[in-house]
Amino acid sequence: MGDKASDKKDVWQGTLALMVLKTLQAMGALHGYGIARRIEQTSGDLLAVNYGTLYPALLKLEQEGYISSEWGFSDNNRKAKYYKLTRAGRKQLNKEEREWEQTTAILARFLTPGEERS
Amino acid sequence: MGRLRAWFSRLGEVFGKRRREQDLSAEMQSHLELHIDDNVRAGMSVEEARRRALIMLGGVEQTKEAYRDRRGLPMIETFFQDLRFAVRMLRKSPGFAAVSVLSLALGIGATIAIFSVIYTLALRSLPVSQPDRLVEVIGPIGGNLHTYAEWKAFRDRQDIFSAVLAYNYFDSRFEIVSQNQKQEVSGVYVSGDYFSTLGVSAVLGRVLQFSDDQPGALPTCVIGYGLWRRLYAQSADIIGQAIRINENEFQIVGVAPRAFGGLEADDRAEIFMPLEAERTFNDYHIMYGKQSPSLDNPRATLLSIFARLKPGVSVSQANAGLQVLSPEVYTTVPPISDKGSWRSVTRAPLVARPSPNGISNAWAINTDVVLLLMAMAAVALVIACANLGNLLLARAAKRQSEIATRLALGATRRRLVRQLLTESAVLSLAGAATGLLVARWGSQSLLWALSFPGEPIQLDLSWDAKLAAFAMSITLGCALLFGLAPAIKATQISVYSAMTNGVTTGKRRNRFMNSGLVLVQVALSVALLASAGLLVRTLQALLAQDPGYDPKGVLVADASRQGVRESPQRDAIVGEELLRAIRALPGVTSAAWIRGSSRMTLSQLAVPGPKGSGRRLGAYLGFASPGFFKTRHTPMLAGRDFNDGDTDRSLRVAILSEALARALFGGVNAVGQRFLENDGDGNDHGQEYFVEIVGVARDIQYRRPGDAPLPILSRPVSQCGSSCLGMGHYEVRTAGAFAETAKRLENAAATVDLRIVLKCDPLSNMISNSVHRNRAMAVIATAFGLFVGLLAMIGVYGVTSDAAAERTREIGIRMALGADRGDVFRMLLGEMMRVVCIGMALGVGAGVAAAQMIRGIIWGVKPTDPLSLGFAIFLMLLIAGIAAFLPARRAMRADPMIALRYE
Repeated sequence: MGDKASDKKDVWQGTLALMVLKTLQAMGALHGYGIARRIEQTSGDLLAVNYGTLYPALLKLEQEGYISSEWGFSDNNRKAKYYKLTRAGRKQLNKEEREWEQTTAILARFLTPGEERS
Repeated sequence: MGRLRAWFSRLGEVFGKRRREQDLSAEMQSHLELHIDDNVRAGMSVEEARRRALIMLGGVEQTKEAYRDRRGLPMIETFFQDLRFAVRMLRKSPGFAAVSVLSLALGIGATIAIFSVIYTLALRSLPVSQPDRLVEVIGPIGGNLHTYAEWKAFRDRQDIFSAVLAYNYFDSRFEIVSQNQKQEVSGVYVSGDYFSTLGVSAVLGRVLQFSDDQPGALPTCVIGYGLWRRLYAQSADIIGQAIRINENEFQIVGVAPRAFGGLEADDRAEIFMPLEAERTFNDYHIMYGKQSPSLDNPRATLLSIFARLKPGVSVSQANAGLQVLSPEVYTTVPPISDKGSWRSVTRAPLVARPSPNGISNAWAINTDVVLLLMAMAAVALVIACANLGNLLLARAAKRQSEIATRLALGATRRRLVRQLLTESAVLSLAGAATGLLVARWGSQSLLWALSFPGEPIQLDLSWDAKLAAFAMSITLGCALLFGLAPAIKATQISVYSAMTNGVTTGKRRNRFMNSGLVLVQVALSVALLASAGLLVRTLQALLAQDPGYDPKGVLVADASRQGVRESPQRDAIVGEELLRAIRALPGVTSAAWIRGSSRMTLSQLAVPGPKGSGRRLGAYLGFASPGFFKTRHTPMLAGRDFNDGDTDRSLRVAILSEALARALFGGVNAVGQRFLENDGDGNDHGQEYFVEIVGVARDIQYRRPGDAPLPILSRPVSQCGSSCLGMGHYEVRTAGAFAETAKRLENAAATVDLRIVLKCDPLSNMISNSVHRNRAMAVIATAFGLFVGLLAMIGVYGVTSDAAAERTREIGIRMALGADRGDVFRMLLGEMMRVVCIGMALGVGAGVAAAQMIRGIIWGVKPTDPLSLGFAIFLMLLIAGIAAFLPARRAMRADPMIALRYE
């Protein structure tokens, strides 16, 4: 049934995971809604489709041991689940950042000659 | 690393599901609340804030579902979920579950039971190194046995194989005494290179070596694992201990591995002795007659030879080598073509035959029977599956609204089919688990059925991976077989119509499939019942056959003298005394003493004639006292019985059986004729002398009824000289009861010699033992037939009551329109019986075809025996009639108003 959909999701989740890790690195501990808003703000309408897709990604990161979660209270005293980076997550983020930079650098080199800069 | 960790983490999440579920709900709730707070702060109404938050989240349930997919291992979880659901559904209908599990248990159990016997007998590789490189070297004259001289010549000259071995299985029963425990076990004499050729090493001590198998070597033996456990409690101190085997002392040098029981699959050896050990026996002159150890007997073809192919050498290359080698072997071992032998010996070259599974006589003898049983079990299993398929279809029909609801709620068809199949698998597994009990019992009774009484087939029926794989694939195959069609059928419904109209609109949904299944069931049942009938009729015919004697009132007493090893001459004197004592007993009408010949080959008779017109024949030789034919009530067709005038000093006389007389002289007028007999049996070439025929007696069935009568040569017991074996047996005709007579005989024996042991049996046991296999077959086949008939009954009942329920409204309308009850009844019954009749017609055809295939084991009845077929048809009609009658009557009695309102 959903082979295509899941392919797309995997790609999306790959970048989404990086964004989550980066967000948590920048903000410290944060709840799901906060992460979603932060990514939305920084990424424009990329995540504007729906926030729901964030939660499986969070779960995946937690299963892989890159983030950990615990229940806490928000500024306006709402109970919320807070996520934060683990040591493994920090390492993974460094690795993925490097890889991402490399990838984009390579891609940039490919794309630059074709693009007419004005 | 992350991925592996995630997988373990997910595996852990399979458990503790409820807490995680609450956690997820709380997180969604908190997300929404935070978002709503934000939205309200941005100036929206609470309503609007909530709506927007939900839209942004993309639906609480959908998010949860996506989350759940990520959490745990959905495959496993849904499987457990399905499993729980399946068990719950089955517990809700215990009757259905019981019937299905039971019928599957019988079907699967029988199949596994028979297959495990086939597997053990014919398919399992020997537990030796590289069994596929083992060949059996088969000798000339069709036999696969060789003499010791042939073996030695072959062993010393061959360079075709990397290693060769020989073993003697001629007598395999040994009485052993160790630490005052006495047991009878299977044993085998093996050549010194036996274990090394097979690549089998000892689990304790050492195996037999070449040095053990030398003339003059100390008798040593290796014992089997089972014996080691039974007799010695797996003690390590037994190495070097003495063990008495048939009164001869052996030293135990090692213990064979647990799985190893020699090369014969159906007679596991527990004692391995060197071939040469026989020379040291102090009793071979009694065991094997007067001459010499069987090793030196040029007629004693007692050895089987196995060989291991050299690496890279194929069987056909080995055979080419044997073509060259065989004449060489034969010139060193001259054929037994002396004056005493009338057998023309043409010596075909030795042939190598791949034998990775060893030898199985039980398989060779019983192949047809076992395959027939396997077919029956398979048929029974297929019918059980068909039946279950039917029942599941009916259940599926009842569950249509449930299924439609689930489809409407978004379950995929694949998911539903998987769930229904899980239910089938649960049924099947439960059936298989119960079936294992049936299988255990079943394979034992199958072995009982195949064994001749007193000679049990001993098999290592333990399970291994291949057998387990077979059982598992049978089980899951069944689940697919009966579960897949109903599952697909059940989910192939239009959601709309199922939910609006209900299911009772008289659509003939499953009718075709149902009828097809009933058709198959009925056809196979009839074929099976007809086959069972043929086997029963065979048994009847065998028992009705005149055995050539009257067993009623005759007692057979096997005599032996415990612990006494004396000369045959001494045995003769004691035996004669005992006969006199028995004859003197009150109530004894007549008695006779019979001793067997010690010769290992048929006795050879020659009738000299002018210029090559003489005739030669082999016959079974027995020695009988006067009164034998009278005791058995076997009529003399010509001449006289032996009498007291026939002594070892008078003329040598003989009585021929009818078959022998006809073969030698073309009729019964043989009395007064003479023939040449040779008492040689071994390296002393014996004497030739004339024997005069004094009588011809009616043929006696000695083996199984139905076999052609054997050519039997009877000679007076007084003239047997030294060629008799043991004390023989006595046959006594009395008016008294068996137990009483046996008691009297034992008392009489005690007066002659206290060491005489008598084993008494009614002579009629001989007949019943001889038809043992046929009776067992008839019993098993009948049991299968009845089981299958019962299944067919359930099937017909299920389908008819289903059809009746499905057509409740139609029936109501018909009755409202004036059809009377009889019409409804006839309609329902008639429809079912039409299917049954077509099935029966097919079944008769299948039955006749099956009978052709089992022609080898039916006797005295034609494959198209009308009585067997008729009975099968009658029984099937009865079964189907009852099964269809009950639901049809129920439908007929239905109130038309209720029927119309039904829904």
